[in-house]
Amino acid sequence: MNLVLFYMFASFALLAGIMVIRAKNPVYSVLFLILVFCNVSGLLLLINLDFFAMVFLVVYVGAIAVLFLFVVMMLNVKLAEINDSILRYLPVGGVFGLLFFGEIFLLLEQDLVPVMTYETQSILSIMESITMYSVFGVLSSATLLFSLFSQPWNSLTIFSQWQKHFIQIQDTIANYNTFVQEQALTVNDLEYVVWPYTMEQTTTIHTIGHVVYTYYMVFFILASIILLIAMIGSIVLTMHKGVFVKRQDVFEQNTRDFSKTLRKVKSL
Amino acid sequence: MMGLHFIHLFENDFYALFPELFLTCTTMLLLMFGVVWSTSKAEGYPILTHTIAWLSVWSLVCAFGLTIHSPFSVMVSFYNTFVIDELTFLLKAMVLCSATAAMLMSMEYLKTSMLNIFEYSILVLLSTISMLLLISSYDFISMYLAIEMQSLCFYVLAASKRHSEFSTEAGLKYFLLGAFSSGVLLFGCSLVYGYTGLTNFEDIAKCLAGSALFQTHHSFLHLGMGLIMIGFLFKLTAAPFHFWAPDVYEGSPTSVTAFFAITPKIALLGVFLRLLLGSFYDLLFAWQYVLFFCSICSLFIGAFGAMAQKKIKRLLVYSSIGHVGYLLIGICCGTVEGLQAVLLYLILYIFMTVNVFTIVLSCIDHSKTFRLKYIQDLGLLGQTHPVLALTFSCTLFSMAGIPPLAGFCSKFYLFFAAMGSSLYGLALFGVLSSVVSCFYYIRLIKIMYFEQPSQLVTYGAIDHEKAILLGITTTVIVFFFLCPHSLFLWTYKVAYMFLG
Amino acid sequence: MSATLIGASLGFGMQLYINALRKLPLLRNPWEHVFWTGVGAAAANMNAEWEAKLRKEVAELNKERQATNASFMESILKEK
Repeated sequence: MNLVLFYMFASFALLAGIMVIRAKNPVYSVLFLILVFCNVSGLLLLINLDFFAMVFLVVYVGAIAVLFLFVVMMLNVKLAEINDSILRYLPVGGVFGLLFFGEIFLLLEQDLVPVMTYETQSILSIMESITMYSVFGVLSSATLLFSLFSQPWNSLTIFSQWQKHFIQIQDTIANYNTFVQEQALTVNDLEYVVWPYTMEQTTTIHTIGHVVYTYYMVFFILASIILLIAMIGSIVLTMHKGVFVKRQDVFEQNTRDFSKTLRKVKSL
Repeated sequence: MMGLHFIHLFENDFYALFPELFLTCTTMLLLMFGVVWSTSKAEGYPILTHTIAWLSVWSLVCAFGLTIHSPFSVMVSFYNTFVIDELTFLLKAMVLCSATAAMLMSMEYLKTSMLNIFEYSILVLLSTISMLLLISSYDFISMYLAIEMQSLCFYVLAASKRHSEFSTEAGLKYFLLGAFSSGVLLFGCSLVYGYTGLTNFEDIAKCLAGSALFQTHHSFLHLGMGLIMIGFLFKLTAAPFHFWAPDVYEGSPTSVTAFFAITPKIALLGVFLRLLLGSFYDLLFAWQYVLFFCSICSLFIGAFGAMAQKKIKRLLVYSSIGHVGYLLIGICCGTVEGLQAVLLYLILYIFMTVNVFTIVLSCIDHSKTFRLKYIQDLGLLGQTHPVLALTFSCTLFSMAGIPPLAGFCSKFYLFFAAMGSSLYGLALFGVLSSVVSCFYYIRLIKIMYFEQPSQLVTYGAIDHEKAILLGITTTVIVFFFLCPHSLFLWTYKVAYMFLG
Repeated sequence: MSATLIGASLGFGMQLYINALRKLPLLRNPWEHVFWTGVGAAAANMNAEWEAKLRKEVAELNKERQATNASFMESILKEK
């Protein structure tokens, strides 16, 4: 299932990427770019990076693609003719393409520190829990509506039964992830702690919040000061205040001494 | 569910970053003061440029006092992301002094050039805070955040003269090149993180310790380190990545150019030193080649690029590219003596640059409309303003490296350090480029004393702040050779404590 | 003592220079001369103190450096 989804997302991303370059209308290019971002976000979901995928959508589609769209619409870019000029850029573009290709080969041969260093047993991945919830949601809402329409006098009991089923499903999904095992082992009267069974699993966003707002809070505050500078910058560069006003320094004007204002530089 | 239990980890860390905290609070207060007062109809929409500028100078002086009397001499704070040691003490003191000097220089410029925005001082303060944070950063993330903070302030400052196309062009070019170089830097950081799994500088140093002995194929790490170096060399305006510098420095308002030329080099060089001589010390034979090449390029372009210039700001930019070349020679050595030479050269470079830009900013005529732009405008300065011309000559001789002025001492140390690390070609090239750059420095002196300007101008009086700055810097440049021991000893101590 | 003299004369000379730069008569505002003389003397004294302190510290560091280098050389020679 994961493999099918990977092939789907990856091929759509590549296709949309090629359409970004080949589309004649620049607004179509930006829209295809948004499609690329959505597909890459799906790819990220496949490797269990749920928070990263959502942030990808928010930042790239919500901020950067919107910025691109504004710029394209503001600059009044005419529809480009790209039929004949592709081959002109082949030499230099080909060199750059080969360089990047070679860089990817370098990448594949190296040992990078992997993202997930351990595989814990029987933990539901994000995709599986999403599918379970959605399947349950569809089936249960279908049966709920059917029984409501067919036996409206029993609606209260039907609702309470539905709630119980929902809580049961939630409990099974939650309990799938934590299983109580022996955390302490006694051998020859010495107590050992079995560390693999003391692990807890949390969601990505919980972990990020746990760390960013406590140990690395300085980064958070620095980022906020950067946003403040961006605000100040946009106001400084665009807001029209009293620009050509001449200043008067009253103290300087009052303390000026006439006898000292004229000086001889040099006599010829 | 966590509570604030972690806060006892950071009990002492706020003392460590106290100058930055103080400056941040002061900046916020000044910003609120400026915004509330300058938009109030009851006060008549006052222009608070001068007030806030003087208040920001005072807050920089207070921060300088706080830095000097910091309760810690060596400390790692905020969960291994910021560090305080001898090197940060020296660099922070220099950054605060040069920021104060740049603000004092621009007082009169702010008044007469109709740059009626009080946010100028706020942006200068914010960039100083970011530079202080950059100097003490010990982690890739804090380094990147501080670099972005500083770059953002500079983009806005470069484009702040709104009705001048030159300034807008400078701001746009700076933004594009700065964003590109930050991207390259971040890519390098992510590659190094992918290879080592670490972001802390000290952890990377420990991870790579002794790896020079094993001939393993570190190609990925070299690529990441190379990209980080390229990002930094872009920002330091080292050749061959210097192409943005002349246009940006020329187009910005002159006081902003002065600030650009003086302060960011200290901070960027500080973190560059920490990376190269701290984290990547074991890969020395890899990065030495890159710095060798860049240093030779910078010296070449600094020597020959300035010869064809007709505007004074572009000439000063090319001469600062040459100075960066000299600094790179010192880093190339990789020894304690090399680091000492770099720090000494940096301190004296700051004095000389403050002097030069103060002189350039002080040449305005009585009606405050004509400013020094072309080299030919310096003509007859020897007759109209003899003391200023003498000062300028001393500074130019010092920049050219003529004994017994201060510039000679710093270059002497650099070439000795280079020869001590067997970088004979680099030392020879440095000497030759020094000789060649003498040409355009002495040409300026010749124009001042022997040539006529295109339009006869009588320059007005220099105001008090600039005169004091000129007095202090000229005294140091001229009389440094009589008592150089304290600077020599201080830089040696800092270099040894960092690298020995 | 000599530090105070040199600092005082440097400070005084600096104020003379500043007045010459601003094209004022050299002894205008004589209180500024006094101020800068004092500042110069204080700065020279602080510099002398700081230099003495640094000399001591650097002597210690040099001793430590030479000791480390000597022991390294010994260890190399011992192997052979």
